[in-house]
Amino acid sequence: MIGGTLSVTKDSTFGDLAEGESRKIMELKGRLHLKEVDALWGAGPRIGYLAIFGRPVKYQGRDVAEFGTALVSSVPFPYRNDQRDVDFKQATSELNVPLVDLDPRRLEASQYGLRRAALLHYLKDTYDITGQLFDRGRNESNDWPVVFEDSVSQRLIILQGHHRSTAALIGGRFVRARLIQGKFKELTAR
Amino acid sequence: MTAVTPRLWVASCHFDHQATADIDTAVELLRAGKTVVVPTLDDARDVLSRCGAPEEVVDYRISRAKSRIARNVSD
Repeated sequence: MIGGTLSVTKDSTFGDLAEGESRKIMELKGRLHLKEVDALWGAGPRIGYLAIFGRPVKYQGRDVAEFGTALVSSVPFPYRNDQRDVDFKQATSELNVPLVDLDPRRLEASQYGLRRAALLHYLKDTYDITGQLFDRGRNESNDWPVVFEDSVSQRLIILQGHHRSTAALIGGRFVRARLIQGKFKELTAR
Repeated sequence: MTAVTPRLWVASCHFDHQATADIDTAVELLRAGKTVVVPTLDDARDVLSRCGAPEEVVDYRISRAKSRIARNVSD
């Protein structure tokens, strides 16, 4: 987990917790710490959001009674390579490849963190319809999630769209993205 | 074959989808979680507005789609 400001107020963005949900959230947090991405698949907005950003602020016995939320948290996907490791000179351009549906359970990250506000935006389920991005800067390379596939290992690395991919994972659905193919730079392939 | 947004396409689409020229039907299908194909960019604009997309988002997504069509780049 990376650092971030802890909100000490109860976070009821998705309503109050039902019985048993706080244990489920804490169990998911444990599994996410081990980068078990599958654990978040189809978890739903409330459980998924709190599993990533939730921080216990009040206990009732051994159970968490209330969660606050951090502004930032660790991305749920494994992170081994970042964009500097990709040999872009030999990769296809994301501007010229068709869209494909990718299983977010197979993805890896190229950055450490997620922002709470950005994930909330994509959990609202309007992005798939309206295309409204959280990021207000207009940059064609961010219009769609972009995933890199290493032709040697077939590993899939998110280059753009970590929040959209996380929202898809939590929602139990594939993420519609541009898939560029190529190789890692020789000295950095792991 | 052009994607305006992840689930709203114009002319055709290689994912499972439903095609309609009726704006009300398109809006209903999108809200039901379907991928929808409409005939023209003007139809797509109407659908997005009816779905509550802010005007600047509609303008942006339509202009991007228009640019890809002009460059003959298929989604």
